[in-house]
Amino acid sequence: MASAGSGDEKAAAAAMITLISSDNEKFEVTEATATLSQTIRHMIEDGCTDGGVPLPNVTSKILARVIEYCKKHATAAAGEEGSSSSFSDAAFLEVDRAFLEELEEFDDAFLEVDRATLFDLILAANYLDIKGLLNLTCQKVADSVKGKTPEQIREMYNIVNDLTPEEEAEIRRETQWAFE
Amino acid sequence: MSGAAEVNEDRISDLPTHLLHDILTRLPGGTAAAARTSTLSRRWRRVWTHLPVLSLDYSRLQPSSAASTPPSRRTPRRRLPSSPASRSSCRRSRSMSQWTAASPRGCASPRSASRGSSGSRCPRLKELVLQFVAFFQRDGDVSIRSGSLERLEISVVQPFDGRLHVDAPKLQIFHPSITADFRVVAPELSEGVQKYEQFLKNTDKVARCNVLLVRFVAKVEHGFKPAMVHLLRKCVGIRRLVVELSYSMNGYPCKLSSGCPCSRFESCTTQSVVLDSLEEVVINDHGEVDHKVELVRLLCRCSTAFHRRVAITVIESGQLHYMRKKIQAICPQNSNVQIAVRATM
Repeated sequence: MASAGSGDEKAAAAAMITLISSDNEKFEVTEATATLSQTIRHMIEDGCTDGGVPLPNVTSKILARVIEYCKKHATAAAGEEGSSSSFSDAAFLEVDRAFLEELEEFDDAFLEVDRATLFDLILAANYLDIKGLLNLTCQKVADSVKGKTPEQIREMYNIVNDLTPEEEAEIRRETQWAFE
Repeated sequence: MSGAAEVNEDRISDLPTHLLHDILTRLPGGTAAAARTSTLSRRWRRVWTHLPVLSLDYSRLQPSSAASTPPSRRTPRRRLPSSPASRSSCRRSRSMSQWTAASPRGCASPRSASRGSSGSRCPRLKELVLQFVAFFQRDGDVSIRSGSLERLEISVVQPFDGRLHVDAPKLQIFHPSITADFRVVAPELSEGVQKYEQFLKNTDKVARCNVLLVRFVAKVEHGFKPAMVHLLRKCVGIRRLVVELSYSMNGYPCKLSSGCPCSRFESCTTQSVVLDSLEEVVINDHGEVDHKVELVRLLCRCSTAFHRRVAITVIESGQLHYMRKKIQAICPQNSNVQIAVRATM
């Protein structure tokens, strides 16, 4: 398997893309990293990335995290493509499994963020169309809601209950089957 | 970004609805868990009702209702009509799956389930998976009607003696793990067609054998006649043919779909069957009398192509007399054919 260093070098020789956050910070990334975002991939395909890609919906703090995610997962994708020839299948599978485990650990650590950041990441993943990141972050929210009562969910996410008692009773009646 | 003022902000409710759907469909409790979020606030009230996928698990309803009510008539049956499946609330759903507990009490009424999937309730439903459902005798016929359904899977926990009607003009994939008698109106069904074509492909290379043993083991969904004709066409050089039919076979035409190629007339014509080496045919004591008779009739139709004297032996234990009468009614087109009906030894 190609090491991360040589992989980066190869890609660097190919093309670099500049991403510009909403607070005007510039990030240089490889094309392989940037194209994990379908939105940016389409821009590159359309040839409109000269002079940088402005991302008015993403702050530098969030963009840095998104790039961190993309870098890691782009190396994973590159590793899958480039390594099969020099290894036997068994050895390749071994490397593959180790790498997948590492990737999983990375994802777990990546999700150790406060709620506000988590929602910013969801919105950024949605805007940039990064499927893996969107799955990861939405799953995190779903897991946090799992097994909670509506009261607990409201408290956890600061949801203000603006239903009148009558409305709430009506909804309860409508969805009684779901509470049993 | 995350100042102290934002700590108490309700970020989740501000997410676009499609992202909330993404989150709700990931809840392990299925659509029931998603529906419980309707009481959070006004924003959430109708979010779950537009989920693209509904997943209803009636076995989950079972433990609590069993604990809270006397074990008499309160099965989820009654509650089903108030479930999202039968409300107009699943207007947007493209996919729905339901599964019930394997316990006898955990049975959803198939009528309700089918009502839930009928066109007027879920006009956009494309996929319906009914897993481990139990149909009862008292439910009689079950019908599923949908103008939008493209994929249907049904598996049952116990045999069902009623009839299953499926009326889905857009149905393309149908996986029935069910032993019931079914009638399907689905002109666009392609899965069954593929299966039949796969069968034809798999049996294309059996030509060079001396003895051919055909055993219909599993449930045969296609008409067995076209399958036999195809095999006979391919078996130019065989000397001995042994056929063992099964009790769970379909006659003709195929019940899987009206558009299945096995139902075509040319699939059953024997003109191109050449059996110039055939000497002996044995039809074993399995399967229904009528299917055996049908097979004998088929062979007799091929008999003009027989070059040698062919002895056909049909073994039947149950309805020997009836079988003899039926066989006698078939007039062989070639005197080289000798038919014997024998009881099991």
